[in-house]
Amino acid sequence: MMICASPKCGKETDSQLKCPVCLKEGITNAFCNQNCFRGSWALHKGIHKDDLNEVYNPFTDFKFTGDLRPHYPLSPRRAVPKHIKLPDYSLDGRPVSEIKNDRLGKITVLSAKDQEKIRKVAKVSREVLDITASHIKPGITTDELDAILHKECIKRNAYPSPLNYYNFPKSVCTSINEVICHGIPDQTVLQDGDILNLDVTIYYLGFHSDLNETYYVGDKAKADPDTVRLVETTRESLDLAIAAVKPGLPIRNLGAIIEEHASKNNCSVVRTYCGHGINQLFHCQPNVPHYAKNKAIGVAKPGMVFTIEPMLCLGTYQDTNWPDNWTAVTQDGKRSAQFEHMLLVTEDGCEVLTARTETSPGGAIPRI
Amino acid sequence: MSGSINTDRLVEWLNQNGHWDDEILEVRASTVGGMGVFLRDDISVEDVDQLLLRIPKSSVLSCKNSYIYNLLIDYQELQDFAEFGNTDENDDTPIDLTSGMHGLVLAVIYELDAGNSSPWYEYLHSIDFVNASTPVCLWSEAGKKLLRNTEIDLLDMLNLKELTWFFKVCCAFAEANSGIIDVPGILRRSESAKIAQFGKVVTSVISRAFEVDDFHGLSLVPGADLFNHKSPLYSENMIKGGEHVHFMSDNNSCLTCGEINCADHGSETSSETGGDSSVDELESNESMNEEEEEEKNPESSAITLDDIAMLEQELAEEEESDADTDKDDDECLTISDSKINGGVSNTPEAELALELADSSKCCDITLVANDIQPGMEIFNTYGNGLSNPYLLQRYGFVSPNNPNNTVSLSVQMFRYLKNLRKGISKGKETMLQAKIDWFEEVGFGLINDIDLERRSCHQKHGHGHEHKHEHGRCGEEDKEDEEDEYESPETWPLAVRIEYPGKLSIQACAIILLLQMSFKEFELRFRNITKPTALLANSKKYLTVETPEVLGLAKRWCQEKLRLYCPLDSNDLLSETERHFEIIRQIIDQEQKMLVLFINKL
Repeated sequence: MMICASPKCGKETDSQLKCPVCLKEGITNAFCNQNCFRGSWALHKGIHKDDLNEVYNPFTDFKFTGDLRPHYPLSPRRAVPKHIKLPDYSLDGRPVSEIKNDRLGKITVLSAKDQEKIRKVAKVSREVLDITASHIKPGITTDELDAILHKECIKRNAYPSPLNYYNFPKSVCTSINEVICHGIPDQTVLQDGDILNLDVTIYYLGFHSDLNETYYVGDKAKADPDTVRLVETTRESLDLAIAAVKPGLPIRNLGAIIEEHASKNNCSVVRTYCGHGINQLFHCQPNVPHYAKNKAIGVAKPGMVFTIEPMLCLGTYQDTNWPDNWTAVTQDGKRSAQFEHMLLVTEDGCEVLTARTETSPGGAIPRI
Repeated sequence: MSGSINTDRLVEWLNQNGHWDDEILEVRASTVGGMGVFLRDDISVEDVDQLLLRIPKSSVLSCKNSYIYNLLIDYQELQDFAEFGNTDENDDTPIDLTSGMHGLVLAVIYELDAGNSSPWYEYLHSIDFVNASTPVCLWSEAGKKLLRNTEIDLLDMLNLKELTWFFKVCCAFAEANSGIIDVPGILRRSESAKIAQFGKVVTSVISRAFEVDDFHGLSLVPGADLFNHKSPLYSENMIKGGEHVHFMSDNNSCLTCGEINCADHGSETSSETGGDSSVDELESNESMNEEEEEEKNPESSAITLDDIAMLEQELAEEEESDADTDKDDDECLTISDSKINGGVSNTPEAELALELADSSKCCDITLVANDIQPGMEIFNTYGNGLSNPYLLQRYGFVSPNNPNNTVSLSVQMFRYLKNLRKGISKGKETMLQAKIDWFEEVGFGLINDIDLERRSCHQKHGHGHEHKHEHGRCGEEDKEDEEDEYESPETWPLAVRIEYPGKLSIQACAIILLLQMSFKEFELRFRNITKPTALLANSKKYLTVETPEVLGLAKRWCQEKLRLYCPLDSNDLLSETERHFEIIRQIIDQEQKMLVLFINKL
């Protein structure tokens, strides 16, 4: 028995259907059937060694907006031991419960017991992020960070939520420089001067916990005034938004707070991606836009849990996707930063469930 | 619309949030009062179907789009739960705050209170809530007294109960949420004057709302409510709409999530328009491919390098076809050209343009008449089938010589029945009751069918049909107006009435004939017959002929009715506002005219 080699499948199979290229390269794997093979070919071929280069760019014809390139092959899908509780999309990629719940208009309020659970999950997710982030340094690849994160999740009996969510191939999102979000961990080597966002979500005790931070890679990044202005403004804009969260807050008012601080610091706010409700579901109501004049629905109530995760850019906020259909980059190739916390609305404010600890790596630095 | 103010800022909002044809439209003072929409002086329109206004459904003010929607749902759930345990029969019908007029009014109250943080701030400030018309149930006692025995009274529109109950429910909602949102000024129950203000919000909302679709329900559509009402015309027994524009909104969205072509919530969706969500499209394509390939017996063959070569070729082709995105919608080009600045773009302007390009996600005001001259006011209709009481209740005005007016004679009929019953034997009484029961269960439906058939003969080219009133020229008429189609009265007592301009309703004629018929005849012609065609034929033959006896009795009822109206004198003007007095005068005057016309025709 082995797991089907299609990154979209994830089912166990005793099929003998093998990829001829893998066979030649001495990789042992099997596909359930032709459908799994054909359907995943575009992704699967990434694990084949290129005859000329070990590492290659799969989208040579694509007009990249900045300097960053994908570095394939992607490593094979990482296995999740049987005893770990899986979210509903882990096999076929479709978060059915989320889709069913979408736009019903109801915003979940967690019971005291569930709040206790998600608090615990949030702590674990913070640990996982901190450990993974502590390995960030020039020379490491994003795939290696993914491996570390995956291992830390498994160790804690947690499922890495991004894995196979709408068929996302890896366990964490790694977004470098002009990548706004949803970067796929690959063989890209981090350089001194890069900024890297690690977006971690875990599924544990029946709850998801979602947080992310942007880190300076090496000292060169901390010496670039524009980069520091971007990263610190983003960090502050999240803090300002969090300060406004309390019962009665119209969710739609948060965008104005973030956009005001961004504009003051000459940064722009991404419109395509939003914060979201999170609980037993990875993404649910409310929708939390980060830009002003939005029409988001919902009023904060004690017991609600949602994320705020502003993405700010040095240049245009307009985004485009790489041909992998995940990696979102700025259209002008200028840098983008993001910070995310998961918040529990309390009786008189909110609790930052994913708050940093004294030992968390990263953190604010003064502007230059 | 009367009650529209600050329209410059509204037009600005419309340009930012939708499509408003500024080049041909102008908002200025209307001859019918308030503001109206005019064709610009130097513009003539040849194009029927011209789009004047388009608002994305995401920008209509519905209770589902309002920021308090989650609070409405939570509150309703609590109420339903409480209701569940409560077996007491309550007189007050439960109010659903998550939909319909009730949810919308509450949403508007909270959006108003949100001030300029509301996305509809500029729109809401184009509505003059302070000077809006007062619902007739809140008029002074003196005014209400004058309306006694009019249709308004008989339809129970003078009764305060429903509005008071709604106000109470809204106050309770506000109270229950006061821990997280301040109670809006209008809903502070301690101040009793507030129900007057509340009533004005209710009439403002009702008079402006449109039914957008099954998901959003009754909604305020900014801009669409600027157009004034044109009363329908009456000629040759036909009611013909006089409006220039229609409100249009596709209703193929998912009931659960509001998305077009939603595949996830199992409600009916039309599949005519192409889905636009790239994720959905990708997935449906994938599942389609899978199905196709299933047939090829996937397990059978091993993978060869030729297979891989083919896959590679497919991938290359896919990438090519991705390059030219599918923008084949004509409307997309006409509306969006000015707003899309080329290339992939997700500026607010481009987002709006994209939304506007998909007509299934928007509501429209579209021109339907081509007889508009430059500089003319462009009218909508608020309903071509509304009688004065309903016009007054929903829009705060009545229209002169309204062809939809009716005058009920049911009070007179019941008094007549009561007298009939006096001093007759038990047996006779049973016979009388049998006739009435039969009419309620069988006859009324038959007569309605005959009624509808006759009306549609007037509407359609009715030549060759056999009916009494066939002297009408059949004019051109609008076949789209299904909503304006005549509806039969709900119960037979409501149908005992005089219709415009002064004729006895066919149902009234039928019940009188039935009452005057001997019981033997009744059994022979109706009671003992079960075959529908025979019943219909007999109904036509015996229940629709206006005999002198029928007309004589109806005339007596009309004379009795005339004596019941309150006489108006100039003293009343002192106690009532001039506007209300004028409306009261109009209502009574039109009713009396119809009655007098009927009497005098005999």
